[in-house]
Amino acid sequence: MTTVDIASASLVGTGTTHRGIPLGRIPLGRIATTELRKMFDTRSGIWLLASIGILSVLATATVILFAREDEMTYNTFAAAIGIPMTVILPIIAILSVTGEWSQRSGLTTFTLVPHRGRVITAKAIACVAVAVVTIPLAFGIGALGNVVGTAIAGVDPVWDVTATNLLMIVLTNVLGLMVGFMLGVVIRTSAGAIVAYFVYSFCCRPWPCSSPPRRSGSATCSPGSTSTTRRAPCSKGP
Amino acid sequence: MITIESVTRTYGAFTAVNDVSFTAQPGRVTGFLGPNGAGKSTTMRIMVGLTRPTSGTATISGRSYLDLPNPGLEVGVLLDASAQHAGRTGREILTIAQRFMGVPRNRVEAMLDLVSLTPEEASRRVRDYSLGMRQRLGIATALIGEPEVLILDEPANGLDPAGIRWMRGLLRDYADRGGTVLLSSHLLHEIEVIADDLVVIGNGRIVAQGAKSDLLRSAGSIVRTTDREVIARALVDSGVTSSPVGDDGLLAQADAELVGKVAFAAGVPVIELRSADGAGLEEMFLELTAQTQRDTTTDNQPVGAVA
Repeated sequence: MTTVDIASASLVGTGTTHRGIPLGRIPLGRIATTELRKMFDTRSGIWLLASIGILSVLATATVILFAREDEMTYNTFAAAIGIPMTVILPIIAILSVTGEWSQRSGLTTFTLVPHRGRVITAKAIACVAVAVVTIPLAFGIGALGNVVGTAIAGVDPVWDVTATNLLMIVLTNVLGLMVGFMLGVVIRTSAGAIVAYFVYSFCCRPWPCSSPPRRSGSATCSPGSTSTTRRAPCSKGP
Repeated sequence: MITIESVTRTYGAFTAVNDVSFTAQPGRVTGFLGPNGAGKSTTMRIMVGLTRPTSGTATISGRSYLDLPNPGLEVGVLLDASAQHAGRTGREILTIAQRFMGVPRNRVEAMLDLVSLTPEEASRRVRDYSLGMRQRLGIATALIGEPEVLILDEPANGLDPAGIRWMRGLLRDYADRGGTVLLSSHLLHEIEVIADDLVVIGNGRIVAQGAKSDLLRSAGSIVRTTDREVIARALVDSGVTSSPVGDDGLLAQADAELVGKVAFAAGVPVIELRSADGAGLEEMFLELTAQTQRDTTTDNQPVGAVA
């Protein structure tokens, strides 16, 4: 058992610094990067992140295996990859918030940063950062799939998704993630917020939403949606 | 220094903390004592800004906790050692605290060493920790910013006897170097050994506070004898009140010397005679809290707590 030897110096006596560390307000950036770390420092967190990559690969492989030649376009790949992303990104956002309550780690977080608004803002920044990094990565996997798939099929790759389309997809997914985040903040329990998010996504939102006009009305729209008035149009693209 | 002034917290019709005022002084260990549900944890939550008081103020070194720019560097807090993400490792939990506070990275290993968590234990996930290990980790988190003030809620829970002795030494040293230590407990013995000052809370109200030595002075002495009826009567004849303790003991409101003389004069053999500072605080604690405790527990708990 170690004896006490933290420091021999007296504890008292500070000014604007604390043993060399400036006694300033904790910068928001530092809270955000720490929150980002907290999203992926557990097994569940890291696997959730990994599953975006894994499912993107699986979705791409599925398209290569089962899509007809004329369907093998970048849009098909993008639509397939969109499904795991629209599911997992909001769950990552939800868990980053609800974990503080369900795991009770908020007791420490909110005493180290005693302004909950700053913690929530930092978490929101971290979540958007995750989306902005993972979505292009996932579509990169899709692009690779398009090149490989069309090469296997012996046809020319079709790049039928415009930059505007891609931007819209990113925006849609970030919005979906923020809706999940908001539900996490409001509901504060993991299960409740995740269920609420899926209820929301079935009722109020077309499912993956990555289809350009010519594919609108296809299976990428939410088939179970009954409320036609509240349902957003399936084709958000130009 | 921690200053609590007229803090009241109500939840609907229930008053958890009722007009509580006390200070915890630098250089001293202040024990915050009370039965379960007395309002200790609520008061501590108010100190660190997790709960807003309905009225009154709580300040740390003259400032509200919410106004501290980087609280971890000024106040070390341990409210519930089990309130951690079960999937994080001990080292990771310390690293998060280190990052929030902005202290050097080597503090993590230094703290693990200080609380005697081995590198192997630090790499384990907290779900596999015993309560004692969680307490050590919690104390490490509280100390990593080298704060001047420590607020610890039931830190001895789950520690083995060696761990309790270790923590006692740590807190003593901390106070001797000018730190302010406030620790709560419902274990009288634990707090009696370590605290310089005591604040006793019962049913949301402060029922006693002051230096431990002052509070214990009135405690009297314990005498064990073969015939306590005779001694009790002899004590009454000498103007000393006493009350039965255990099977064969008496708690006499007089110092041991007088009780010894009385017993000798009465011709009754004495098995044990000592000043009551060990049992004294317990007696005082039960006495002070029994009244308030019974008020709230009559519905579901007829007797028992005092017996």
